[in-house]
Amino acid sequence: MKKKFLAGALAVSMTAALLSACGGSVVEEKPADTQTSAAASGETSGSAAAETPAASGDSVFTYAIAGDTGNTLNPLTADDRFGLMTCKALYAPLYFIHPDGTVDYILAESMEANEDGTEYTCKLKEGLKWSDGEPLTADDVVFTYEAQNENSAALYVNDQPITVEKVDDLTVTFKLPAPSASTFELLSAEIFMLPKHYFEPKGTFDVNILQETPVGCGPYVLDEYMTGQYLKFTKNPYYVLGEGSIDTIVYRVVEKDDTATLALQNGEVDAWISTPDYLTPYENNDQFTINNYSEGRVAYLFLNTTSEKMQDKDYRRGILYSLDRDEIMMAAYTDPQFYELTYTFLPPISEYYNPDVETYARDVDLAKELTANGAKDLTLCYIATDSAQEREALTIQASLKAIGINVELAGVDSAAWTKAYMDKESGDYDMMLGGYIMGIDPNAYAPLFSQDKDNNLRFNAPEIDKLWIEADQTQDKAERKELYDEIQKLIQDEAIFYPFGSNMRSLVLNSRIGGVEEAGLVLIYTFADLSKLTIQ
Amino acid sequence: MIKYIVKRILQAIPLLLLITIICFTLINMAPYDAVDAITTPDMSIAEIEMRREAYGLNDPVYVQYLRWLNNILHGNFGYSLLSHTSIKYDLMIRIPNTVRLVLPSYLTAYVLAIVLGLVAGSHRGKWQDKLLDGFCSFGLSVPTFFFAMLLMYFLGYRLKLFPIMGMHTIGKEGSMADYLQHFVMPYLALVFGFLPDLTRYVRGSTIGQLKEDYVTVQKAFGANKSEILFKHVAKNVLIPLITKLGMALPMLVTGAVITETIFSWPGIGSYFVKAVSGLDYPIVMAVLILSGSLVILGNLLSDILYCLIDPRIKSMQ
Repeated sequence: MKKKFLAGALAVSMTAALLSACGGSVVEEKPADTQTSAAASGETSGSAAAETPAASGDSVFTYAIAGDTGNTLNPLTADDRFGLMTCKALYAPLYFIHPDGTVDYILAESMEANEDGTEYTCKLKEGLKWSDGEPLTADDVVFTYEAQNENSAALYVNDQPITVEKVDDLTVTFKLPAPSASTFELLSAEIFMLPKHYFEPKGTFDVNILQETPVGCGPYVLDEYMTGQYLKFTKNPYYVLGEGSIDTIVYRVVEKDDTATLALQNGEVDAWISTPDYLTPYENNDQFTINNYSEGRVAYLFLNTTSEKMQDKDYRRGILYSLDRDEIMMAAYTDPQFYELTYTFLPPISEYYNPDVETYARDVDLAKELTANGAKDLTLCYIATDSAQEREALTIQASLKAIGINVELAGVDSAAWTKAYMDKESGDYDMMLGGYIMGIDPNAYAPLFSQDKDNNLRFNAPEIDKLWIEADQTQDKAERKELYDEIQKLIQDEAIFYPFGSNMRSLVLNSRIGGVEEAGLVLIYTFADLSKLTIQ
Repeated sequence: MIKYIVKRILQAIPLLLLITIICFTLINMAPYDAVDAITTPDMSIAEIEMRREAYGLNDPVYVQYLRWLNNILHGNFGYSLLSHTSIKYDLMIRIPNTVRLVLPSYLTAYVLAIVLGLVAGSHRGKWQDKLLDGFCSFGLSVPTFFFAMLLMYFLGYRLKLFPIMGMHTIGKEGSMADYLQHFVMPYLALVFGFLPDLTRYVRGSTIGQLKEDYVTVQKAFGANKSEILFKHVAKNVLIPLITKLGMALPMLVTGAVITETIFSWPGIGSYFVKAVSGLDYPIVMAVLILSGSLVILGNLLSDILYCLIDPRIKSMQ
């Protein structure tokens, strides 16, 4: 009996020793010899990064992504990060607006508004071609925007679509039913030009990337998709801003962070988005560069008003009073250098951001009082593979426990999260954790809250709906700002949406990858222009 | 003999049907709309209604069941709710990937377990037994994912013997050498995962058999130890082990869930886990039906093998 116990204890302590040895050396590793050994291992292990280029003479950039895109890509409706990243590689917009407001003209030569802001004229660059060599003309532009309008009301102003007309092969006009200050951004954000000659006969925007090769106008074209493994792109010889410097780009699906970080250190992948707790091996390390950048992301908790338990505003306020932003963000991102607290729907980088709103600073007694007559069991939905969200969820669970509310954590796959979020009739979850990156103009956030639009966060406040329209039609900046101040206040008063912070994203790159500044680190897609990346 | 086999196969059919009925009932109980599986995000409500009608989703449940059964029998598993991809297509790519990982691992563990278990059982209480038993205790107490990560860390990262993830180096899909390099670590992790349990099973069975009268008789006839062990005991130990083999059949689908996820092996395991966490029920049902059918087939297989190996069973029918 005694012996058995000892054997058990030994096994446990051995495991613990191995664990600490493993953890310790991963973290403290200063891989001064990584490169030489990685190079040497190229001969024996056949690691992707080390061997493939040598074998084929091509340069390959491998970017580890945390999820699969699925076999079907729909460039019109893609709204998840990996789908959009794929679209960004394959397609191009007319122009692209950076977070600081600078505009890169890509397919368009210029885009100008008339005096009263009701008509925009877009001139296309000359000699544009699709990746199959067909000319890209105003017809394709008209086709794309008309498809957008058929699909969703994203390009609507006052319930009326923005109409698009071809003037000649290189000129297109956009007519607005009413002036709208955000139109300039609206017409570029996430709208990739789609080839009419390819999609019109197909009859659908779904591309089965296992079998079909999509025709695009982006810096790269899809070469191969392997289910659950990778997407491989080769450069598009007709790309308007010049052929890419790197021959082949690979988005490699690596779902586990532990696997991804070892693969990066081993040279099997060149780039990976790291969370703060995985950064240590890359700090002060010549082999890698860490690029922290803000996506203007807002992480939030949303109380689902479709759920019966969340009907009472005071109850919702009570929930929010039990929480502490800093505690949640600290749990998720470990160090204040990786986040900023936020109090409204806008990220702090926005010039319209105004934190002078109801912040729901923690007040446990008030929280208890307000929730006394409400439900005592709630479900919280979050994305299970997102470790930051998991820690946010655990912190919220603990905070609510303190006021006597049990929270059942429902960690789901990102696609299932999206489904629950899009299904506005669903009261399956009482609360959801989320994070969004919307764009630069404050009107870009209206779809989340306005009943005239998608209203994903399920608001029912006609007063705010009206203000969104008014603010968008106001051309004067100071007046606009006042209106958005008011919207920010009113949204917080509803106690449906509780933003807690804006985090940084850390892109770790193998230092053989250059041209990051030229490629530009941007929200959602990581790189504004993949064609500018280089390999030394 | 043939009569017995035919009888068992006939008995399996209602069980398989029962599985499909249970699975289908579960589908219909799930709080999701089945039409989501066949629509795309850019369809209008009218179009969706049209599809609902076209796919017979307004029909009574039993009609739907019969149609669904018909589809399953034709290998048509429907579409993923989330990626709108044909499940059949995914399964056709992913199941072979899992089989080629699990099958060699399980067979290796199986053969090793027979040898190690016989050795341990016949040396009961001696150092060989203690060593093997200690190894089994250790193996059972170390979670597979942890062992897999240790392998990855030491063999892949520190020693750089093998690539850390995936099934192929991109662009080398045809290379066997490249495949084997990717294969080694998940294979070792799985062998390590399967081995302890099987070894203990063989060991226990061996100890039981060694107490039997026929062993005493053989000893009395002057047979040496290894003769008794490998000629007589081994045969009897194999009988219950055949059951294990049959029962292991569903592992071909769900045997490497964790290992696949860790090594980014594009098999059915990670696909199934994602589907479960994403409530992608057409996929969940497809995999459940497959593994459920394999459980029944496995049972059938072990019964038949049992019958072939041990004629006493047949005479009991």
